[in-house]
Amino acid sequence: MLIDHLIKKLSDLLQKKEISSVDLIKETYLRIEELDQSLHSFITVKDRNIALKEAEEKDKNRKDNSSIIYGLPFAVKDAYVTKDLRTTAGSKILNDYHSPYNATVVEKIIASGGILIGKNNMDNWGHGASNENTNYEIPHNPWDMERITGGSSGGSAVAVSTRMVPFAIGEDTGGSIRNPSSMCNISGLKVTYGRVSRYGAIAYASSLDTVGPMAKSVEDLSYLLEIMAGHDEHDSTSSKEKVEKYYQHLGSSIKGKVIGLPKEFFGTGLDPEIKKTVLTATQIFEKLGANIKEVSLPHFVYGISIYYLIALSETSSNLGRYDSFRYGDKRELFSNESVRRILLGTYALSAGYADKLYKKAQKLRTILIQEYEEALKTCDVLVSPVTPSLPSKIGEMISDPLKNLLEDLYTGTVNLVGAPALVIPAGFTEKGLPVGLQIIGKKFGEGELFQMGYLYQQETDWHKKLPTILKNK
Amino acid sequence: MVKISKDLIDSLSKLAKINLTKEQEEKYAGEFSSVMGYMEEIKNINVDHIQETSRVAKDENVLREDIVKESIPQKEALKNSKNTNDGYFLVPAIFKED
Repeated sequence: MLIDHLIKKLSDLLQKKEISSVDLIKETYLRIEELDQSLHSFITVKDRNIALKEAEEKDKNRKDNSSIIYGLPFAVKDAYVTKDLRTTAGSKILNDYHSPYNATVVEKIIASGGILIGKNNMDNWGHGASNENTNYEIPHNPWDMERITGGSSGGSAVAVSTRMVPFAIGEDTGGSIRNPSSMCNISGLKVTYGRVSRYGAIAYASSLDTVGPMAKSVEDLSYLLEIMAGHDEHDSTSSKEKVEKYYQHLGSSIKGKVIGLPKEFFGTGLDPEIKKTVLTATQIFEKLGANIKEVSLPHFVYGISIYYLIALSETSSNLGRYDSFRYGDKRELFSNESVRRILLGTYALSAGYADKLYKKAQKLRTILIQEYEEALKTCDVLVSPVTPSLPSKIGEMISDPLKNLLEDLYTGTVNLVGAPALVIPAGFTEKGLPVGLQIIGKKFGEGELFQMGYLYQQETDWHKKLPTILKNK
Repeated sequence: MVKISKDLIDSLSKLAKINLTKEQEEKYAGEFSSVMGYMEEIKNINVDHIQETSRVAKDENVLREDIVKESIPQKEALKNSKNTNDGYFLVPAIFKED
């Protein structure tokens, strides 16, 4: 199908008028109709006729210098407010919430000519690593229908993995883009904190939340970031750092680059098949001329505790706004997972415990930042696994709150530090489950991550593999 | 393992304004203990003289000109509320009459 092509190819075909935006929209809706009854990657889908009308206008108004995504369909995690479609954040509390404005990232993609198709399933409020914590239908992993998609941006990962849309926008607070990207075999980017505006992103933990693209390849991510990134007067934490033409990093040699393997990331708890896959991937980088070096982040072992004490403190505060008066339904509709997180955060911030827990976690955050900086002084990037476990069977993890939290082991500390991290497909287990690889960079070093990831995708074809559910179509 | 009492859960739920049933309090007390037991590992690490990090964005005191700009119309701002009157949100009374 047409949507199987990468963004550049689609754009070329559209510019040459060999295909139309209407063709693409028709395909998108066909795929959603065929597959989403069983996959549940969307919570809300736009009316097909409205999308087709938008596509007709795009076909009519296309110019020689139209953006590379002009006329392409896309989806966003339901954590982004949108004017035309309801926004739920995966929770019944916002079941009928209609925002009066669009999130900045949505505005930017639409301004470049993207056609918003729908809102993707997610763990409510971003609370989860499996997408089972949604108040809507639990999405299924297209690589094994009995298994979780990963989370919290699970719906977006499924929609891209099954080529319902050429790309989607996810949100990552502690691994929410990276974890489902790895579990569904797509490419995903957690940006540097401040690289993309958070305005209109429903807040989970404000000092950790980031807005990033999810797509079929590193090349596609590089085009998308250029469109999404930049300062926004509505988000005082958005950076004025120059937005690059990230695609210019693609194709240049990585000879002599130093890749750090943090030894704490390969310790106990890591699934042996994931470990093997990641280490095999590092050999490809060696073949491309990079040097591998072992590094150490001694306080990494406390990473999950530090991450959760801060994230849950912030979420207990952020979710205080749902009072059911100005918008939304009553607080008793928070799911078990969210109530647990709100209560834990309230505890960590409460009199008598704030110094021992919240403030202590903030001090340890400083130490982690220093340790990452130290490691990235001697290395260009760090390479690691994405999750400690393979996608579990649906229902297994929801009964074990601690296991759910531990899924963020290799991703959560990156948010504490504010660094960018790219996830790309790196292989499959014996049972055919996808395994991703994480490349962590220096702040605002997204270009270097694309450079590494792009060359890896020239040497491998993991990212081109399609789930069986598609091959049967 | 840290022992979390139902009373603590009760007082936290009041702070967080979430009404819980007795069964829920019991359930959360149990789950809380296992998660807090894990997280309290940080209690004994020495972090004296270390500065706290509350944010990783570089800019400080981000200001803007105080200029009136177009805003959302009142009707739009109120449209998601289930209880409004004469252009206001209706909320439960806070003060009791004597």
